Amino acid sequence: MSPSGARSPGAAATRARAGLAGPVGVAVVALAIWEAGARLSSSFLLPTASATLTALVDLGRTPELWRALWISNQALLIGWPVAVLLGVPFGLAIGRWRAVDRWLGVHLDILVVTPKSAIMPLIVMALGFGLLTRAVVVGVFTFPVIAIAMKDAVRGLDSRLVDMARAFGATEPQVWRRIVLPGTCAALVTALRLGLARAISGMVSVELLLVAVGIGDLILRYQADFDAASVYAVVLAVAAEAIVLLGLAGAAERRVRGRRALLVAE
Amino acid sequence: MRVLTALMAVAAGLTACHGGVGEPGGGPIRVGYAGPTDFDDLPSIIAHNRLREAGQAVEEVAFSLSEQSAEAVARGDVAFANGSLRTFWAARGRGADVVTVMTHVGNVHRLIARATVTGCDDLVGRRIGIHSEGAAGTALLRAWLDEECPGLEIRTLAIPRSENRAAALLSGGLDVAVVELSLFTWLAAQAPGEFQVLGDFHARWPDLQTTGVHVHGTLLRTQPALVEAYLRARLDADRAVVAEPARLVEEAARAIGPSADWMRIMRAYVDAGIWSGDGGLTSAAARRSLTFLQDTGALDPSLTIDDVVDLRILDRLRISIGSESGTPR
Repeated sequence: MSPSGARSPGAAATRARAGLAGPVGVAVVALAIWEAGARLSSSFLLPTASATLTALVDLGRTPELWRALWISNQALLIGWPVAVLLGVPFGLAIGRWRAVDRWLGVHLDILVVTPKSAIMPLIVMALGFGLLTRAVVVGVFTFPVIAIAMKDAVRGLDSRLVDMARAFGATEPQVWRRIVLPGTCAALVTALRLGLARAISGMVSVELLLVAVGIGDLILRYQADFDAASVYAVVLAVAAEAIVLLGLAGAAERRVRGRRALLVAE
Repeated sequence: MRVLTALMAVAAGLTACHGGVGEPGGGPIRVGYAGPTDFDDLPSIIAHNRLREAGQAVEEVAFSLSEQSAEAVARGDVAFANGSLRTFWAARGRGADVVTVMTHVGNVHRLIARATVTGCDDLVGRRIGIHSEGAAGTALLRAWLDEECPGLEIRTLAIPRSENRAAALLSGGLDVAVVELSLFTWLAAQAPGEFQVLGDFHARWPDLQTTGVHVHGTLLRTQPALVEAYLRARLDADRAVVAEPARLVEEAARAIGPSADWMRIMRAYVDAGIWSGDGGLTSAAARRSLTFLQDTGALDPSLTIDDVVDLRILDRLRISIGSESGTPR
């Protein structure tokens, strides 16, 4: 195969199909086990995979699911970017400067280990029951993951590079511009991806536990009616959204890592 | 004597039970609750303590949600559960093997509002805190609004758990919400004069029941003696707190923790007649409650009273207790 052939649309499509075969195969096996298990258990609480997929298709035809997804994702669209804007510089700062880490690192650790469900009522009491509260909860879920990933990325940089730059008279801004930021670029995309996963989790958690709107409201309503197929269908819809978003983030990550590898090779 | 008879029947029932539902090998009777122990549960806790004193192990299992409690009864993970009629009857409508056998606590749902909200006009544009759209309290709210404020379009905000709605009222996040009587009493103590009962659902519909004691259907069919013994213990405890409400305060301090609020809450419950001492649920009340929930769209209209309630044991106990002399222990 020629180099140009390797980059042709046909080859890319083949690679994409091959890449999908594994996950799709696993999904099919999992669905088959689910279907068989549900039929054997005959529990009213465990719907079959086919019933769940039918419920998902039915739900998808109604505006209810899309409205719920839109309401829930408003919190994601606000909370996640804000957490990124705060978490990335915070993580870089505590990773780069030990003094900042001594002062703030312990608070980040506290935020990491504190169960978020325990913080949520406090946020609600302080901010009420609106979109702002849900966005803040999403941010609280997301921020520590991003900050820690960035901190570790800075700590993982080759210190000899910084020493070398210093030896040649580089100023701190130059060290940041030439070493820290390029060196943590790939980790940034990973952090965004991890943060996104946590943001989705936070988005649903606050709606299930405190403010029943959007997806959380749908789940609670179907749960109250013991409509297990619809509950699972909503969960599948959220999972599908997460897969799409994380897939996009993963693609971005691969792209950045590819470029970085190219730069290093050059 | 009655308690002794009840305990002997429990022992007999458990001895006869080999790998029975929820009590394999004659183990503890497991009883499910939707959440940690609160004031509504105290008579049941008193009944369990009496059973324990007589050597019968009873295990209380707190679930996060009423739905989980219903699922546990349906699976036979717990023998009995206390919880919303609406939830357990909805589960029954989905084929769950659960039957309601008596009332757990009377209707404690109240529409609570800030003192400045005095009528229908004040509700316009305000969000009313509810547990969820399908909850019994929401059905009561909508029925109350239909009667009091016909044509009024309201905005609801679903906030799971009464404690969260009470906190929202206290913090100013909400002006109106459906909460339980015990939480209203607590709110009134926290902010005297700031909150009032806008809608007393118990006074409005005294024959409506909202919570029950539910049993796994197979257990009821295969071990009626055990169920009868358990219900007798529950009835005795209900009658004991009706005769001597101060027991609630003692038990609240022991089971939940010391608080200056218990006396106030006890008085509110006694004034409202929350426990009747006769098991609460009658055929007429059950039918009325089912019809009410179906009419408000909270339940499947095809459910019949025979699907969800079995009062044979309770009726027998009422006759038996009525013929016995002496006051409850």
